[in-house]
Amino acid sequence: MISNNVKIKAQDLNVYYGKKQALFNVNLDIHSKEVTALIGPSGCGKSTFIRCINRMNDVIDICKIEGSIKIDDKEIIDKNIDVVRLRESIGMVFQKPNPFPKSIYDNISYGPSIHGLADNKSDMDQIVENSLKKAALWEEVKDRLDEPGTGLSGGQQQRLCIARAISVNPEVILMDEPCSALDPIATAKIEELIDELKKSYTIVIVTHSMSQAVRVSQRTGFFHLGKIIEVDTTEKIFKNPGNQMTQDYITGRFG
Amino acid sequence: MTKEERIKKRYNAEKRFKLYGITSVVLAILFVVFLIYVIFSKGSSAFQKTIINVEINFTLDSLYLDPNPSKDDLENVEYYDLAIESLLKVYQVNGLKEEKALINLFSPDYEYEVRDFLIKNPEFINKKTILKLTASDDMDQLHKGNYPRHLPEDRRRINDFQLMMYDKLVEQNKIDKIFNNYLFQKGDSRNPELAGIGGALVGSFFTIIITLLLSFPIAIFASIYLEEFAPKNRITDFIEININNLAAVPSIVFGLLGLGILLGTFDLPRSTPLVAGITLALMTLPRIIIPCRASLKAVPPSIREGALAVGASKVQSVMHHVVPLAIPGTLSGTIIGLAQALGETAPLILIGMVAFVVDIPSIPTDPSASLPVQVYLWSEQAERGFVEKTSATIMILLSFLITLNFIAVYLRQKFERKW
Amino acid sequence: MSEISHIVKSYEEELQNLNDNLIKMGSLVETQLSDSMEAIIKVDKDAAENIIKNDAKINELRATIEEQIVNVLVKRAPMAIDLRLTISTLKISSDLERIGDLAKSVAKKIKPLPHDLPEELIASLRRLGDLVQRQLKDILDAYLKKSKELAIKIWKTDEKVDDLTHTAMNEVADFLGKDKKNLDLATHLLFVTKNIERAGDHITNIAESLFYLIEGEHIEGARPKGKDFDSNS
Repeated sequence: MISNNVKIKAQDLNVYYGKKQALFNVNLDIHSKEVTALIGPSGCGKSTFIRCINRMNDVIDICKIEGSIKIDDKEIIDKNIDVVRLRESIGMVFQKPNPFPKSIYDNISYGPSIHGLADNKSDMDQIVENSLKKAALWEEVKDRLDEPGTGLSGGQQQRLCIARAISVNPEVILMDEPCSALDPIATAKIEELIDELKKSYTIVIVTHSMSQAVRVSQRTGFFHLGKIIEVDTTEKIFKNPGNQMTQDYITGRFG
Repeated sequence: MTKEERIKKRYNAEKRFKLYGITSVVLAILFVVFLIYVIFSKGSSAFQKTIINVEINFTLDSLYLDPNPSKDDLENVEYYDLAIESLLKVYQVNGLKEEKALINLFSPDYEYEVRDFLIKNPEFINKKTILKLTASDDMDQLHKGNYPRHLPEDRRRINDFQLMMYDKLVEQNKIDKIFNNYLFQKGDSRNPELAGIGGALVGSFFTIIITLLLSFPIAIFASIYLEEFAPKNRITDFIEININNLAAVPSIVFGLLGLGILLGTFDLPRSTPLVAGITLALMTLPRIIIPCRASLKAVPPSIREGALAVGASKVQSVMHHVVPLAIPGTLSGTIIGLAQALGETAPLILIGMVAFVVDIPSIPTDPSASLPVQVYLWSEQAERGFVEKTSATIMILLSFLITLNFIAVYLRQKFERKW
Repeated sequence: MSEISHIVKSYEEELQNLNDNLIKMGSLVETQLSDSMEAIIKVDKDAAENIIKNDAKINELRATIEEQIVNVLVKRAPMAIDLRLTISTLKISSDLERIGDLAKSVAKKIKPLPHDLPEELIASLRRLGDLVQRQLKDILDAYLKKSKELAIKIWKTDEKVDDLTHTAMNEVADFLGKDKKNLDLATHLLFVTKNIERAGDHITNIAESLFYLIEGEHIEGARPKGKDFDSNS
């Protein structure tokens, strides 16, 4: 079911890397407890956009953001916002799985420990177990929580990263091409996971795979050269898009 | 050229190239082997000293002692008479001249050697025993086969009578070689047979500790700040260029710095491990900063992003994630820097560590020597006996450096984490 | 439709092949229909034999098209316009094959006919046949041009086809009423008329598929219906 609550609202968003402009007047609504897919050719600004949501672009010195992004009606493009608290409520999963070079347990417990979410060891154990269960990884690793996270397979590592993102109880999960480094079976497991997760979290996923966007998302936004060309329900976009450029892109024609 | 000819030419070129490589490696190894051989052949004899067996009877009378003497009593006794008496019994001599010749066979410390023995083994009071007393430097060299016996008498320090005594003593098995504990226990001395690297060892040890304690924390924090937190602008670029240049500054310049500022302005005590430590710390700083920064740079940004995305602050992501991964590279860089500092001579000479220091230093503000400076000092001495000691010190210094390098390799492997 | 072609040329060629095959199939069916209409008017029994034999070619072409469509689906995972094109082609080829079958059925009915057909029976039949043939020609044209307007026009004309069918069938009923000996002939002719009407329905189906292909939506409203056949009216 398509929900109607807007969780994240981007208005007139313009992003510059030094003199080069990467996003032009982007207006986009992300709805709550839904999967929104962002598609578009390489370099069109989709990754730039999601990195604005959790202010990850702050680490790039020459990046300047103008405009507004509101999460639950609260403006986050604001110098006074504590990005550490912001990132506690927004989880991020990257293209290449990047577990910490620590044990599986420590990977998950790091976030909760720095945010003070557990009072004692058994609380933390519970958090770790819940996160791994929600990420469909618990059964596979419950007997080897002390082993290094980097010793898992690619698909497992990515699920570990998802569990890590979930461990701090976020409301939004951002995924930047999470399956592009994985084989088809691992990809399918992650897509299954996304299906489950959308019941509890708002998910934004950047993907290069058209078929993945169709499979997992309820809404799709098409970016091109830093602009939003079309955003609508996934069914509409892929069965009968309103914009010719959108159609040319998804059918593999392009200009 | 046909295809076959071209292929053949290519294979031949490859064979030639391999040959050049192997030749270079072989040459390099030969040089190293030659160097080691020369040093070892000259230095290995220093690990042994020549002794002469002397019979001593520790009677209470000869020591002017009352029965059951205390330790203090033993320390206060004059051992000179007993010693001379015992020495003269070693060989049949007539007249003062011959007596003097006999006594000169021994190292001038004989009275202290007797005393030290009795204090350590007080059960020998009123007993006879055979002591191994250190032979003189000339005897030592003679027994080790380094002495030019064939020269006419007026051109050598050992006269014919002494030579004859030597030969007879050898026949009687009263001359022997034992492990040279003085090499490690004693400080510097005018007499080669009594000279040791004890002072230099402790001096170098204190120096390195001070260098480590000063340079390591400053270097680490400077690297972390410069690499992770400092804004990238012209000022930080300028700092980076300067750090790189400082690493290449000749070490003697740091000696001048130590001389001028530490000894001059701050008036710290000369020739001490404290000053040496500070001077070498300044020199080692850039040599630790550079590998530390390189290790920090080598940590992939994905680790930092992963930490930040989970809500870590910049400081947390650096200290909890980046720095631990940079430890192996930093450690090996540090140890190599320290190993270099251990072998530095020029700056230490400038801050005065060329003094003749007999006592072994007990705190870093006592004057001392250091190992490489000791090598320099002994290499300037005339006596033959110092030649082997110089080479032996070089061997010991080299073994420390090799050990430090192995520790660096081991630590690096132990802490290496795959990411 | 898009003026730009696919980045992957072989994809473009596959879709073009599909298009061409469908048009070829359409021509074959067009020929079969007109031949069978002419044959029944003239009661040409030799022509009937040929028509029956030629139906095999149409079925073969249908099978080829179906196979090609499965290939496009598995290889290309077509999206949007390409998806609608693929699915519509499948439906249209099915409808065309049915029209071909109906033409064959008509041809089969020629054998038992007498050498001559009374004029009053032929007139309406001929008019009905002409209309349906024109519908077929028009829809194939509309498909070639991907014309939404033509599709709508053809879809609306189905009403007229129903009316003409109604008229033709009434005439046959009258003819039967005059002389009960004409039962056999009347029955055959009723079948033929019905077949032609069903061909018209399939053409209307094709119009609907074409509209969906072009617009991505279904033609609005119920299909227009003409009068129903009622033997008592």
